[in-house]
This record gives sequence, C-alpha cells and structure tokens, in this order.
Amino acid sequence: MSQGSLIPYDYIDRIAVTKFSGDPLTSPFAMEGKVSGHHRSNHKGSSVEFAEYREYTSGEDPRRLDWRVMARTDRLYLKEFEAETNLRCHFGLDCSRSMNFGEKTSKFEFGKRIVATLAYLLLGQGDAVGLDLLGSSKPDCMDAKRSPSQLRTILEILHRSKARGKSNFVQSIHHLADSSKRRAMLIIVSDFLEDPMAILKAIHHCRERKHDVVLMQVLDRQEMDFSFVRPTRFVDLEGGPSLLTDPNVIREEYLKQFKEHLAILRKGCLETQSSFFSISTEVSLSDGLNPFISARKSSPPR
Amino acid sequence: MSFLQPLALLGLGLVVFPIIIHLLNLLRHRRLNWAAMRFLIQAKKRTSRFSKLRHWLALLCRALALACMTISLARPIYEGDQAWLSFSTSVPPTIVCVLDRSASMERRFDNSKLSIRQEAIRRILSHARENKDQRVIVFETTGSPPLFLNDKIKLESIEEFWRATDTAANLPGTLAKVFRWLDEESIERAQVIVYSDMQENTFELNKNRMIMEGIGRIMEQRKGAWKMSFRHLQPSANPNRALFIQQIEDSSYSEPAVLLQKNSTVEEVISVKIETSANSHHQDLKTSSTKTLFPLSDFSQAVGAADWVRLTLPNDACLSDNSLYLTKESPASVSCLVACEERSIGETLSAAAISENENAPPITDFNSLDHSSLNQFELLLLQGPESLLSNATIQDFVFKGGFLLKLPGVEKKNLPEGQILPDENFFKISHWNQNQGILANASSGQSLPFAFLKDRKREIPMKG
Repeated sequence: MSQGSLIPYDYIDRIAVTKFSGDPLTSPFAMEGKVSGHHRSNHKGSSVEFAEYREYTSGEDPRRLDWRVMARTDRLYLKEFEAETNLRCHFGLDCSRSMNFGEKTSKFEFGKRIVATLAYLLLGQGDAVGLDLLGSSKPDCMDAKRSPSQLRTILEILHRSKARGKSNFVQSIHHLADSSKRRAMLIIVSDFLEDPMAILKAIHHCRERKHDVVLMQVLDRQEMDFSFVRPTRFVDLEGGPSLLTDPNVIREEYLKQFKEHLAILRKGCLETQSSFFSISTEVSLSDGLNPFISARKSSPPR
Repeated sequence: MSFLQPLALLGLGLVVFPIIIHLLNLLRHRRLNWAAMRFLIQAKKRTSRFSKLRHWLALLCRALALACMTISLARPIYEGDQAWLSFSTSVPPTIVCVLDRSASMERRFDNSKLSIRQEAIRRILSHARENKDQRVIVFETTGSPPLFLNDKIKLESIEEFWRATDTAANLPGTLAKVFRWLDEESIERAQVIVYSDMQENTFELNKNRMIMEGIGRIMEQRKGAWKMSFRHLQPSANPNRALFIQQIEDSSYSEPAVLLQKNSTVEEVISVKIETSANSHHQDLKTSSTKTLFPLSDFSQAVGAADWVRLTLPNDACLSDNSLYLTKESPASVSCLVACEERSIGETLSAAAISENENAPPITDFNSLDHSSLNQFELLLLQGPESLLSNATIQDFVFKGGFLLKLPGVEKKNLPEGQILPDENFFKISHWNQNQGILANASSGQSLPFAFLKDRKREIPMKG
C-alpha cells in the first residue's frame, strides 16, 4: 500500500488493536498525572490500595484518623492509600534518512504504524499522548494530551512526516528528555544505528529525569542477516561515502559487529532499567508489539 | 625441458582470461541504498587485508591452473642434458630394457617373495605403463628377438613367457646385439637399461673384453643420444644352499659325492628330503663350512635298490638349486641319434641328450634315415610329422628293440612378421613323469640324463 493511497487512520493496525485492547498498558514506575487513571502515582490518594500509616500532625483532617489504632495504642495515626493517576506518554519517532531502508516496507512506515497503534491504545485507556519527530529538520513536537482529538492530530503529523532528517537524532532525545517537565513514558522508535555510547548517554539523561524509557528498534531482515551474494556498492542513506565490497567476504565480520552493537544497547538498557525491543519489519505489527505489551501487562512496580 | 606439442603452449595466452573475468566482476555490481553503514565500514576495515590477499590468491590459482593445463597439453619431457627450457619439438627416447635370464636371477629379490627375474620383469612392465609416449623394447640373454612392450601386456603372461632358465647369461653379447639393432633401426635417441644381478660370470670380462671395449666406443660416439644404465638387483641376504654332484678324486680312489654349498659358515644340521622310486624320507646332514662333501655311500642305506633318487633341500633364497636328481646309469650309455625336421631343434635335442663324458649325439635329417644308419643306435629322437611313424625304416628299428622318442613336427604357418603364436603351438618339452612314458622303465639298467627336465621345464620358445 503506497503512502499516497493511505488515509491517516490506516496507520492504526486493526489486528493489533483487537488483540491488545483488553490489556492495560502500564508503567512499572510511578507516574505524575493530573487525573485519576490506571497507573501508580508518586502521591498518596484515595484508592482502595493501602499504602502506609503516618503519625497525625495537628491541622490535618481528623476524619482520616484510624480510630481502631488509636483505641489499641492510644496514639493518633493516619491511614494512607495509594493514589492512581493517568500516564503521560511521549512517542519519539526517528526521522533520519536511514529509516527509509526496507525491502518491502520501510522502517519509517513500520515505525509510524507502531506509534499510531500504541497511541490509539493509550488514549483509549485515558492516558495523555504526545509525539516528537526526532532528528527531523522541521521539529514537529506536540505536548501530551488526553483529548480524543489528539489521535487525529498525531495521525495527521505522521501522515505528512518524511524521513529526511539531517539533524542529530541523539541530540533530539536529549531535547525530548528536557522538554517533558513531568515524569512520563518515552517510547522511542528508531533503528538505533547511531553510536551506541551516545544513545546510552541520552537514555541516562532520560532516566535522570525519571522518565520510563522504552526503545523500540525497527530493523529490516536484510540488515539482520546480510544475506547478499554478489559484489555490491552500498550507498549510505545518510549521505556518507559509498562502499564497494563482496558481501561474502565481510558477512561474518558484519554480523559480529551487528551483534556487538545490539549487545551494548541491551546491556545499557538493563543497567538503566529501560526496556529494549527489537522488531523486524517482516513480521506483523501485532506479533512485533506482543513482547512489549506482555511485559507492560505483567511488569511489577519498581 | 622440451615439449612434444610446443604449439599447445600458445594456450598460455588463456591466462589473461581469469584476470579479465576478475576485472569484469569488479565492474559488474549492484547498487544498494544501505542504512547500517557503521557495521559495513568496520567489517571492511577488519577484513580488507585478508580479503585482498584471498582475491589475489584466487586469481593466481586460476591463472596457474590454466597455465598448468596448457603445459600438460604441450606434453613436457625433461632430460638432464637438455637446456632448462626448449620450445623445439622433441622425440622421446626409445627405452631398451635388457633382461638377464641367467639361473642366478631365480634367487629371491631382497626381502620380497619375488625372484630377481620377476622383479626385473615387473619393473620393465612399469616402463611400458608409465611411458606411453615412448617405445619400450626388451632384449633378453637367451637370444630371442626383441619384444615390443605395450601397456596392455599382463604381468602373468609375460612372466610365463620369460620364465626361469638354467643357463648362464652373456650380457656383453646381448648388449652388443642391442646396439647393433639400434644402429640397424636408425634409432637416434635410446635409453638402454640393464636389469641384472651383476654376477661376475654374467660379464666374463676376460672373454668379452673386446666386446665391452666395442660397446664403450659406441657409447662414446653416441654420447648424449644413447645412454646406458644398470639396475643392480640385489638378491636376498637370507640363507641359500645348493646341491651339486662332484667327483672325489684321490690317487687310488675316485667316487662321486654330493656337494652341499651354502653362503654361511654357521654350523647347522640340514634335513634333506630323499625321494626314491620306492619311498621318501628325510636324512640330517651336518655342515659347518661353505662347502661340504657327502660321499654317495652316505645315502646308500636310504636309496637301497631304487633306480633313481632325488635329494631336496629345505626352501631357501633360491629354490632352483635345491634339488639334485640322480639315476643309476649303466657303464655303457645309450647310443642315440637325433633325426629332425628343423636343424635348430635337432641341435637342442642333441644337447639335451648328452651323457656325462660323452659327445653330443649326431644329428641327421629325417628324410635321410636308412637301415644302415639306424642299426648302430639304441635310441632315436625323432622330430617331424606324424606320417613318419609309418615309415618302414623306423618301424623296423622299433621292432628290433630300438627306443623311439617322437616329438611333434613344426606346423608351418605363414604368419605376418611380429605375430606371436599362441602358447599351445609352441614346441615344448614339458613335465616329465618318471613313472610314465618310454623312459619310465629303467629296470634294464639303461637311462637317459633327462631327469632335470622335471625341475627345469626347459622350453624352446617361439619358432619350434
């Protein structure tokens, strides 16, 4: 399906929505929301989930006193409960030119569908959703909102966005970390083919800002297997120098480098309590998102 | 090194093809927009040295393979005296093998089960198989015509053809014959290889000095064109013993005795098998030197009244000299006449019928037989057509008590030159059984010295 014939709503994968709409998408970290929601808050509130006892100080509402404890111990204690709030999720979609690569579907188009589908699911459960086009020459940033019209806005931005970015992708992540004033979930969709150390530094920055970071790596099967046979001139999509080589000769070393790169990213994410998911463009979106949804559905609070 | 087909060397130009294909492969490549350049560049950096080396090695191997194929098609030959490289057309030398067929060649070769003769034949055949471009011709010391070998001749059949003899060899005479033949055939380049155990009596330099000097002069004249090499085939170092008959002579005493000769001085007891017309048993003989004489009286008890006796030593390095066959011979030996169709056969028969201290029997043509010439003989060795048996003169000779040994005539066929008759057509005196035939009954006290025929199977090859 060419982009020209797509309408914005086509980016939402209906099979994935059907499959995951019953499962709440939660964050393992406490969130700061404005309204009540499904997510654990860093504040105490009025839910049914008991949080702790706290000594009463004068001036506080005496209705919150635990009378049973006072009768037993003759001391004044307040009984506090967990607060539940909504989630602020910021999507970061990599718009660098390397995302244009793909045999059948480009990584960029696949990334758009990930963002659209997850945005639909999150808005459906009352969370606020925002979008940043990372590395884009025309920064298209929108704050997280929970209004139903936000979905249409996001879809329209996705529809008109193109992977022609020239600016630094990593720098955009730093900018995203700073721009979100409250703690939020940052879902970054990219191929993460930049310098892994720079990417990890940006993730550290996000984590310092108390954001829950999710890296969704989108890769084409050819990048993962490097299954070329004939001598090929590889032209850099980012505008770098081209390279003529025999794939048979360098395949082993290429795959070694590729695996090392992934290992560094996974290790860095593990250290920063971030999530890392690698998705191939050849699988269906519902299969690709399944590990992420399963992890979010069952993740214990941290 | 020179080449039999130097024109094929033009094919060396094909070596450029792998290089052209290599360059074309570099030009023919696909273009692909690629995202993960980071890994490609790093992988290329790490493998570039190895990949370049591999590329060049592959190219070199392809070019070398073509060059080798071209050179092998040009059929190179190398000889020590030639220039290192010569592009002129060359004729391969003719290989002439000289086979010593003396009795001593029946000794075991080195540590193998083969005799020296068999080993020599095996090596000669290997020349024919390995040098298909070259002619391989064999001369042997019994004087038969040269034989052209090819790679299809089987070892078994050629071994049967050049079987063991009990004669001595005359290598200088054979070599002279070889060089004469080379000269007659106008062969420019030849390699003469002599396979022999190099015994002194094979050369008999005192007798053959002139011949050897003549060969030396020929070799000097044909220096570089004709070459000669000797393959000295060493006999096995295993113990070897032989039996001979020898006369013990004294001033007042003369007696035949059995001489046991061996190649060691170790004292040992050898068990000799004694076979007679009546029985067979073993007798121990004690020896301590290389030559030991045993008077015939030592065996009288074992032999008894038997007409013949055969002494056999245990198997050793040479089997052909381990048996000694003795018969009782009347003081007056048989008078024999040879009548034959072919003079050469007659000479052989005459030589075979010589008794000890006797002259060779006379030879006559079977057409000239008459009563007067036959009456003075007791045995007639007759070689000729079957129709002779109905000759009145011969029948009369037999009726009067004469012995007749009939040998077949020559079947004359107009065969083309070089064609070999099948085995069954050869004239052959084969296995003689002492219990059958006209010579079986020796009770009359008369016997003939044909006993060795059993052991030696003397054969006159080719044209009977």
